[in-house]
Amino acid sequence: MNELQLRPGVDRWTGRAYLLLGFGGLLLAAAIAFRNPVPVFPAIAFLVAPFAAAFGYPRALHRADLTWGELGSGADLEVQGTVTGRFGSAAADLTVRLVSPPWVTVTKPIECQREPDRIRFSACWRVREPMIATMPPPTVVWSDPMRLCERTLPGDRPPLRIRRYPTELHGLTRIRLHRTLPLPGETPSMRLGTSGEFGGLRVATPDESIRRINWRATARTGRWIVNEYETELTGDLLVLLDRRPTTLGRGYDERLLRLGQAAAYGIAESILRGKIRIGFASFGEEVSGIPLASGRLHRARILGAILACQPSPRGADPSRCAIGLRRIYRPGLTTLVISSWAGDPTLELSPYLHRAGYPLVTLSPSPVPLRAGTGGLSPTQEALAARIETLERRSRLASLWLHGPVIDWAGYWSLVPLVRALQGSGGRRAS
Amino acid sequence: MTPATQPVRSPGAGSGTSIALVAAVGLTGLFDNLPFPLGGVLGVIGALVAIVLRRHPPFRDRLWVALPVLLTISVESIFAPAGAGPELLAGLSALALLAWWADDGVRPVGGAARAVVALTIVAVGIGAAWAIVLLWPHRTSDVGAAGALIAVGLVALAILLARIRRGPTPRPSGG
Repeated sequence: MNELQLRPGVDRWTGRAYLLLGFGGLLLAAAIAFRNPVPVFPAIAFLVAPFAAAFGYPRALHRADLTWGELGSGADLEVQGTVTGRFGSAAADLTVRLVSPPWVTVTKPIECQREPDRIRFSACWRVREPMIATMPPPTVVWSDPMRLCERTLPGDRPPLRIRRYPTELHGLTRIRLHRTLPLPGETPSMRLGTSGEFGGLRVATPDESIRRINWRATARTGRWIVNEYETELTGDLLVLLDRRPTTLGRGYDERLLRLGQAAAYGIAESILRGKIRIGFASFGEEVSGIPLASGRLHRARILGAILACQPSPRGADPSRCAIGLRRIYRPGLTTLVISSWAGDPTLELSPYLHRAGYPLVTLSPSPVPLRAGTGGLSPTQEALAARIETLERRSRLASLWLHGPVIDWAGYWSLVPLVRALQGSGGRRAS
Repeated sequence: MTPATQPVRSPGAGSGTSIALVAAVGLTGLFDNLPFPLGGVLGVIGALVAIVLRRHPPFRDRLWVALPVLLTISVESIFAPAGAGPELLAGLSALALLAWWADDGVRPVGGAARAVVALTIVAVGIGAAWAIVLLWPHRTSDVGAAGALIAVGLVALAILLARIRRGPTPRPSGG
């Protein structure tokens, strides 16, 4: 690499610098044209300033490391972070540039609090719909006080994973899934809870209920000891995400897939927290799946697979999905199918999967709210169109009830019907 | 206010550099060849328009906010008669513009103070050019212009030679 660079590490000039250089050049030309030395004097200032500004770069300013995270719940998303480094008085000239993703609306622009060794920043957004995304880290830019030249500081700045899904999914750890294995006694339980068979002892935490204290063990050890119980493992779960294209177009397919990813992520995270085995498969042209397992490693693997899902350019016959699943998962496994069901009706997965022996629960993210307001209709016409579209969709989803409970997911920030369906008691009650 | 935190920007912050800008540009206008006091009024209006625009948040960070004052300085300097006074005033106007720019409302107060190194370099360049014009034995406008051009060239060359190098940027050491 042998390129011309400004020292010490000034990366670029800003628009202001180019404006000054342009006016400086024009004034010099005017001085020569009018044989008048006066324009030369402001020209000197304008031409020298961009170079002189680079002298202000603090040599101790080497790097800026970032720690950041997300706060808030539901649609409200607050991003907070701290940029650390040896800034000194240069902190005032540092800017944290955080680009708002396209899937949010800004409710509070980024605010910075500067200190000699850290910059704290926060920004508030509103997420349009549940989604899982990875946000690129913000850049930390030094610019001179006149903002004529800039430099992006290097440093350790990890990306941020944004997870927004309906809060009801947190309660999935307490559900009881349908028993699907042929011999339930063959399923060793690792799930610990507050009731069931005695499983062991452990040191109490400060928020422990007094009813769980094992007084004998406490007296014996001199520490607060509580009982732990093994709750019954009631079944495994497979989450199948349909990535095939629909008639809605690529843009809607991406948004619907993001919704499906968010739901799958929330379900997987909650289920794994309860130490229930879960598998994840996606179907585009082929089936790709992760076998049933539980544990921390499996959690990372499954969440990575969910995040890696992209809309498939071409669809495939649903029978291929059923055959592919049979190769990885045994029949009888409770399967949650996440699909928008907005494509060709003959390509619906449910009949094939049901025939292959998988008990189904269907979650269908509705495209109706996404399409609202895009047709250029008046509010009255818009309401009518949405109503007609909803009725048409319901009549289409009604045929799927033959194969299992169906949840039409139109209110994106609530998944109460799905939780009820997965609890096994509300199959027919789910709407 | 804790010593560690930056002071919160008050509504009056940046007033000093704004007043200096209005004064410098207005004075420069009074000494040009335009009918009295048209140059001065033009200068004050140009500076005030830029200052008022910058105080409004939607325009605060816009590049074109400085255009009125840049155009005013250009017009005034082009129509100014050759002489030590107008030349110095034109240079000072440009310097005041840079200081006003450094004290913008986007970042913490004290921008002009933090930019003192860059402003000093610019002031030295203007001072050198003005000294050449003032002290030259046979002072004519051509000689002044030539001397100023040489001064600009020398300062720019010196800065370029000090700032430009070939090769990759060294990896910053840890910490």
